[in-house]
Amino acid sequence: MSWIKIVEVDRVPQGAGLRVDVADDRVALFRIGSDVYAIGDLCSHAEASLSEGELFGTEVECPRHGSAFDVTTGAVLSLPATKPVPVYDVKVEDGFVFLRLEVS
Amino acid sequence: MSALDTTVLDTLTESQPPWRAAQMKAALTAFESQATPTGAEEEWRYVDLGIDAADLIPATQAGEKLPPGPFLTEALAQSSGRVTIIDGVVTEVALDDDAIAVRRTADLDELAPAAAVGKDKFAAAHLAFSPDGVRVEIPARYVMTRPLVIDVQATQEGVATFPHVEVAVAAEADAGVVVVYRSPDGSEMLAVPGITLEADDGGRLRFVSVQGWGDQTIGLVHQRLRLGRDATGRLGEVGLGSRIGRLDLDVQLEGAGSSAEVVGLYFGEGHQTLDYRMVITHIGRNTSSDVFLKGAVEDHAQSIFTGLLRIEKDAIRSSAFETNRNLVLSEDAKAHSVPNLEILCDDVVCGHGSSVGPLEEEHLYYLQSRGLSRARAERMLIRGFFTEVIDRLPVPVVGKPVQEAVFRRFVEAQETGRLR
Repeated sequence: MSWIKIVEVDRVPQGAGLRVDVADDRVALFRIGSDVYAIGDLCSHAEASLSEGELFGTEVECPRHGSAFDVTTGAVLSLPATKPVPVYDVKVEDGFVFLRLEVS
Repeated sequence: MSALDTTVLDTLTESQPPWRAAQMKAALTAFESQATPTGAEEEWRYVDLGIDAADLIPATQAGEKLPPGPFLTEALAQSSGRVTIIDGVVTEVALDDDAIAVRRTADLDELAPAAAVGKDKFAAAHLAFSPDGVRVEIPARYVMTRPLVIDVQATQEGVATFPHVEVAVAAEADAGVVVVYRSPDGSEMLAVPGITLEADDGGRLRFVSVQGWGDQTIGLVHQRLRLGRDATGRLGEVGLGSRIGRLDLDVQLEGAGSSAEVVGLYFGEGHQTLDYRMVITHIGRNTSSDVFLKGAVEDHAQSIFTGLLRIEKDAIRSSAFETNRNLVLSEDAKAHSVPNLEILCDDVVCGHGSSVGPLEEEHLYYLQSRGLSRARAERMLIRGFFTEVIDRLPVPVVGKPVQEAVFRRFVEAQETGRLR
């Protein structure tokens, strides 16, 4: 596991999501205030893109069927999804977002 | 100072070629001879302008440029060039595509008005006071891969502006154009754009307008589309901003085999009036048209849809459809929907449909039975309602910011408890 430089933090919209593809992982980045969070982009229910969902506080609502996830933990907060999505270690340094994940 | 003060017209005509100066003077006479609509006229029913057009102060020069908003930024990300019109004056023409020609009014021999001066007082005002404008020409058989973006701004408080845009698609050419209308919130102003669109034989035009005027702007758009033989015109009309936002659309299917599609969406909040009037005239045989508009109103907003499908007597084997669906989300909001057919030919296929109502209780119940909260269920239905039309916008790049803007409006209404 190593830190991978992903994107300028300014490219992550405030209060909305940005999808980034890192190797085989599809990650949704969210910026809330000065914090950036990263969870799996694919909804665990029907594989819609969570980065296109709406943010309510730290909760993202899937645009397709309304499942909700906590962007800080990946935990599922509303049906129809029943399983969490992955959560990634994320840090912001020198104006860039870094993710820690396994790359083969 | 007012429009009737001839010094304004003198200032405006000074820099114009003689043909245009003469046209402006003639249009001023037509302007003066007509009354400001009061809302009593059938054409202006439900619309309370609250202004007297005789008090207009026409803009004579461009004000300060506005910062780019989300619609413009997304549209420009994949464009073939940009035209900026500020207060009716063309301030920028920057093209990345050499095949397209953009000429300004002063370099033309005539102006193609979007509406005749006798149409209403504002059509006459447009022709009398429009200081400048562009004619975009796409040469025969040329296919544009990215759309041209036209940024139409009104910036000066208390002033009337008359932006003029013509798009001429030559035979067999394929063109995409996006117009974004905007003005600052909180400033009272009037904007009367005139948009003239033409596609010659076999030409194809994809055109989207995003009406994002500020919340105290009255925006009255006259727009005309004329189609030649086998030509295709696809229009997308998005209505979000303004205090009163009106689109007066005149589609002429002149050439045999021509086809027109008008898709649109609007979302009214506060005390907005969003007014869509369209007349689709089938003149040539084998012509087809499809109008599909969806809207929502909340708070004290009202929307009006009046669509007339007119089939002339020689337009045999034509087909024409129009659909208008409205969601009324608050107790005090209103949606008026008036689809009309006028068929003078007996060998045609026509259909129309319209609906006005709240979100379906049954759909909400179903979603809640699957574990969604009511608020979440409402958001899913709103998303689904508008996605159907956003997906059909003929220039897809504006889809995302439009989707976001509409959704944000709904969430705001939900969070402030304005929904019934």
